[in-house]
Amino acid sequence: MKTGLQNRMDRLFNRHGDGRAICVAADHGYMSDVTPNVVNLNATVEAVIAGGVDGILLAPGQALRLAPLFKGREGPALIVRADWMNMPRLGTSNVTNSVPQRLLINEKVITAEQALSLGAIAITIYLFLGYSDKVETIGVDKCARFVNECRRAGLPCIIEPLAYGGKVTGANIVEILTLGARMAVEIGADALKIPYTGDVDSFRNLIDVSGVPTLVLGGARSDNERDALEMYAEAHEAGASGCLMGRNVTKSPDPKAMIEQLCNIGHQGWTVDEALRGKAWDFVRLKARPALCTGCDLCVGACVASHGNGDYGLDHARLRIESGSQTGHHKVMFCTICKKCIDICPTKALRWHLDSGAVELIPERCDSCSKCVDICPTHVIIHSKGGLTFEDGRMLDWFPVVCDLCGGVSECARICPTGAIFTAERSDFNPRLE
Amino acid sequence: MDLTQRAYCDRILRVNLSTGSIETTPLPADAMPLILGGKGLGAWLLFNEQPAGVDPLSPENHMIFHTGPLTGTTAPTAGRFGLTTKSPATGTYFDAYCGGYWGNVFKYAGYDALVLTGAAQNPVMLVIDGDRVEIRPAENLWGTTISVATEQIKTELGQEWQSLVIGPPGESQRNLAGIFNESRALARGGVGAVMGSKKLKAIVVRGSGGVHVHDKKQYERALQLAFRAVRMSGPISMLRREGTANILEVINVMGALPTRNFQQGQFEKSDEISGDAFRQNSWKNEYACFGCPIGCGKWTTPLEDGKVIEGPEYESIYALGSNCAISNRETIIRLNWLCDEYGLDTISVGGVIGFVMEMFERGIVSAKVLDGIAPNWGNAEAAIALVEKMARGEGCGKWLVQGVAAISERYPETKAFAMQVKGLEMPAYHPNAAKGTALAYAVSERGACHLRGAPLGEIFSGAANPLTIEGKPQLFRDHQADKAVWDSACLCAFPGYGMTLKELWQLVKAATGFDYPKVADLERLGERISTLARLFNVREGFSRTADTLPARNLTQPMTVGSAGGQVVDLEPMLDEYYRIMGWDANGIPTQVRLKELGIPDTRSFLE
Amino acid sequence: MNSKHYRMKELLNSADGRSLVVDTSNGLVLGALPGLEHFEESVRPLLPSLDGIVTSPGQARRLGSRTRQEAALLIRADWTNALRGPDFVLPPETIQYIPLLNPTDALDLGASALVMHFILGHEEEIEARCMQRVVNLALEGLNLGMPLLVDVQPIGPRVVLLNKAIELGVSYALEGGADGIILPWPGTQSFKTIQAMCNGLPVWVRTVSLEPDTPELVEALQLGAAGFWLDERIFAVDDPEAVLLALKTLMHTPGVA
Repeated sequence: MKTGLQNRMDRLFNRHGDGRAICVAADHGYMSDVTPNVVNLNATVEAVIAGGVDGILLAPGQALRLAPLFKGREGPALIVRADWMNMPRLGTSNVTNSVPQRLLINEKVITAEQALSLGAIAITIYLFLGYSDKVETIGVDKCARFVNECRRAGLPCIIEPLAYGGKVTGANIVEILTLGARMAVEIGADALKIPYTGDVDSFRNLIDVSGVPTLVLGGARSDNERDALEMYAEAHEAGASGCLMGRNVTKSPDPKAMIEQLCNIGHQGWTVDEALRGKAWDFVRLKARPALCTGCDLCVGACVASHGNGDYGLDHARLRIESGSQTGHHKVMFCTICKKCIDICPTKALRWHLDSGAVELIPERCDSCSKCVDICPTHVIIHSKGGLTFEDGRMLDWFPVVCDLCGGVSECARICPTGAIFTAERSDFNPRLE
Repeated sequence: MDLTQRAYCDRILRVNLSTGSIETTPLPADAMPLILGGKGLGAWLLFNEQPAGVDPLSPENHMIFHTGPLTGTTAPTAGRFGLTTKSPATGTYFDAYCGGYWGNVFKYAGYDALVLTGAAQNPVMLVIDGDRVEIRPAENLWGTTISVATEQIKTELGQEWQSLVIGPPGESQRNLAGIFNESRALARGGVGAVMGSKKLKAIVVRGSGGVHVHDKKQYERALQLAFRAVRMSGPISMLRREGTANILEVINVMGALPTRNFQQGQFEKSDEISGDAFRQNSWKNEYACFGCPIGCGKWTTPLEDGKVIEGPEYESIYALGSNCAISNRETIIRLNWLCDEYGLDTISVGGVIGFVMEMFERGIVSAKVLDGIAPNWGNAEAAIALVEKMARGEGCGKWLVQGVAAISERYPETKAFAMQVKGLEMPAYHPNAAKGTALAYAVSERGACHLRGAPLGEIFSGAANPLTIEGKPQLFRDHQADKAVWDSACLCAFPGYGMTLKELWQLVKAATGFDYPKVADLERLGERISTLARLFNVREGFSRTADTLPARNLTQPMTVGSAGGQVVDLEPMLDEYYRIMGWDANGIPTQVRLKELGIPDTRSFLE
Repeated sequence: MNSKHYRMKELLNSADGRSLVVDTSNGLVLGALPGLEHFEESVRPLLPSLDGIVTSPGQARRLGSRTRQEAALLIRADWTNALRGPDFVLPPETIQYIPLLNPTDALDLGASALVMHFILGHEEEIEARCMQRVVNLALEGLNLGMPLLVDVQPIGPRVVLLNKAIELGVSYALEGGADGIILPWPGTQSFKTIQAMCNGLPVWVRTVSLEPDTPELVEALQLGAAGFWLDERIFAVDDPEAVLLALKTLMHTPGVA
């Protein structure tokens, strides 16, 4: 392998000595419409550098303009987008649709030598599969030209296979991506940037048959930042050499934190939960932003599914949406850990759970007096469906069912699509002292 | 095989309104892995239980309401349900789907499907309270509008009850009548008229049961992947932001926004009716159906007289807006309100108004025929007056509300621009500007429909060149199979803007435990179900001659816009599509193909 | 004699001028092929049993550090979706053909020869592209000393007489400047014609059968074939080395000549 190529591959993948690179794709302004992440490029690039990013993908012009940010041994690696395409503007996704496009175009714009002169550590180029034979062939041709140029320049060539177009279906998308990965390697890619295939096994296989360092890309931004981290963690498990993530970082309210979290997963081996929280909360509580509730009842369904006999349904949930038909008119009713039930219980059958901090019932002490049910301000303590029989033969017709916060990972908050119900840290709380 | 352990209730509720008999039967267990549920179950039951030639408005016509295996779980949009029947508007197999909150509750009541036959003597409603099912008199509700009937039911029975009701046009058995679950509807094809013909005002339901999936751990994992795919989708975030209307501007630029009864594909005032315009000026709050992580529904700010609607959807904006050259948002909202309140299909109503406007402009109908109304292009007052007449069944409204095809029968010279296929008014994508979609309109089992596999990606996600016919039959075939699976699992189409069939396959496999080793097995299932629907139509006498488009699409190019000069070269696409599907040149599935798809011998009726 | 001949000799057995070659380059078009999922792991053990190995430009780098007992490196210089069938995940709708690299690139990669397809029986334009490509690669290769082997592919739907199509392909390749020919077995008579046309230039027979006692293979050698040309299917058999050894034995048996 040529020295230049080897050195540059190391610069990108061995910044931490672990063969992994957490990179950001910030080349969207080059291909999509003028979105906020495009407008705020400088600030975003500075933020991700502060977060410890290993590489940043930029369009040639921005690479020129932002060159000072890549200075020095500590600076991130500059990756240059060397071709151009219009895919983001073909769709109705994440664009302002100023000048919609009808046909997919993907063309070589600069040469490897030009990228080198911009200070690039690597270039990234697309390989489209599934649109038409013609576009695929143009892609192969373009990739081959870049590979030949890159070989002479000693510049790593990262090929980005994408499955896009009318021939792509849910049944063949994984196969097409795997094909694209291997084709890219056969053409001569030094590394890959590729979408996640959706599951660990198929992504592991893709990486396995490609045999070059593989960076997973992020795709459209999720409102739930957990999604991007989970996806990266799965790709990491499958053997990815890092990520080259775009909108999930650049459109995030806090790109720096997002990079830190990705680095903690990629370089430190943290779990998603650890990365998200920085440190684990001792106790959680549920909180609501009722204005965001659409009334979809997913939280109620998730509550039922995670308790009781495990069936899906809405009956006997430990929280409730009081329907007002419109978003902003619904009431989210859940256990507010107000302690009224614990205080009123005449038999001390209710107490704080020592691990989760949720209300806990000690059935042996309960005499089904219903005082807790009556006093609950949100009416989420309900009568159990069946009763209980104790070893001593004593029977309860019913007992109160209370929210257990799912032991700390509340399913209602996890599934809520709008953040109308969420978990927050419950600070200054120690069930042993209460 | 215990289907109750595989996400089904294993109970079909069968009600005969003539005899008053109410019974339950199990699902066709052997067939379930072949048809899955939802659309598949509806097509199976209708094909097997309803003989050929039944008058859609007679007691013999079946109304089959169905859910899918995922219904009632926490899968994205698992509140959806469907209805399969024979349509009075088209005379074909007809399936319609609806969001809202009825489907999941019906399943919690313990049923996968409801098969309604017969007809009551006097107005009734069907009350399903879990295992207790009864037919109650509903004279007091007869004649009421959707919101009045719904409120009255809630007041009488309780807030937790979910209802499906028809309005006065449904009671009068009009072709444009739908069935409503509050702001959501089974709208098209005159399904409301079928219900009206049975003298059935409402189907109300309450239930507290649950759904048991086959492999819960796998199902939860599949849910995680499905939700992630939904959340990480650009198109879905646009749906959340601007509702279905988010695509309007793009469709307009593509020359595919039907304008002035499809005379044009671009509307000069599109910016006044775009998703962004509605979001900025007319929408206040979101609406989500049961289990929906998207929430594409939008509630409007009140009109002067306090009327609000959930909508308008993209389809309604096209139909009641650009198709009639109306750009005033309040007018569109008012027209939509009239449709929702009286229980009419907005697409078809808009299709009729646009059609009548063109007839009026051409001097084919005069104000005299239209009870003094003079509907020139863009005339808001005239449009409102016409819809009011249709809603109340007064004067010219009586025949207008039978739809474009019926009106065109009265005025045969209008045939070339009567924008309908098989009796169903065209939805909001101009066929001349989107050739795969044109093929779908021509072939779809329920007439001109964009939701039976029309490859809309050719227009709004650039999946292929929309103006060429090359590769479109294959593209449509793939989409048609894919969509039939979604409709059989009974999920809304919109999670599919993020999820692919792969994520759906993971859900279906975990929920049912059926043996689908590959995603492609579900594609085959989808093709089987579409073919079954086709077979029903073949038995009713439909074949290639019915798979066509109005002359406006086939021979009359638009003169302006980015699809100017385009016509649909339909015949080569039909040839290719039939070939791919394994149908003969007349569009009839061959025995060889039926065998490959695992559809039992149907030779007897095909001969 | 220029460097082109030296390079050519690298893939011919010095004793009898014959060679056994395996073509692994179809991954360019078809992705990971059965048995070739892990390229280097599968290919490297076979190198001592082979005289030549054809790879894609991308995989060439994985076969560095070969000894002189191991196969010479040949590089695939073009790409076509004509090799995909109707059951492939992306079945071709229109046939495409493009070059991937030129003799300079091949020199960079340390190749002993370039290999290209000559596709017959598809659109006229594809044939024209192939013809252009043969001439260009041959002339460029002349200056740089890079031999050109042409893979005759009579695979299009317009092929009426297969053996005549092969003859035509060989003729075109020779007229264009090929230094060696690879072809499917065209039958005795045609092969004789082709041998006469080639006039001493090596001709490899692409074989589907991996059995050494296949009559065609024996006959080909008797009529002067330069050896056998196998594709990736060799990697799908249980013991590829044994199969190669048997074929090699047949090829280098002095009696068969």
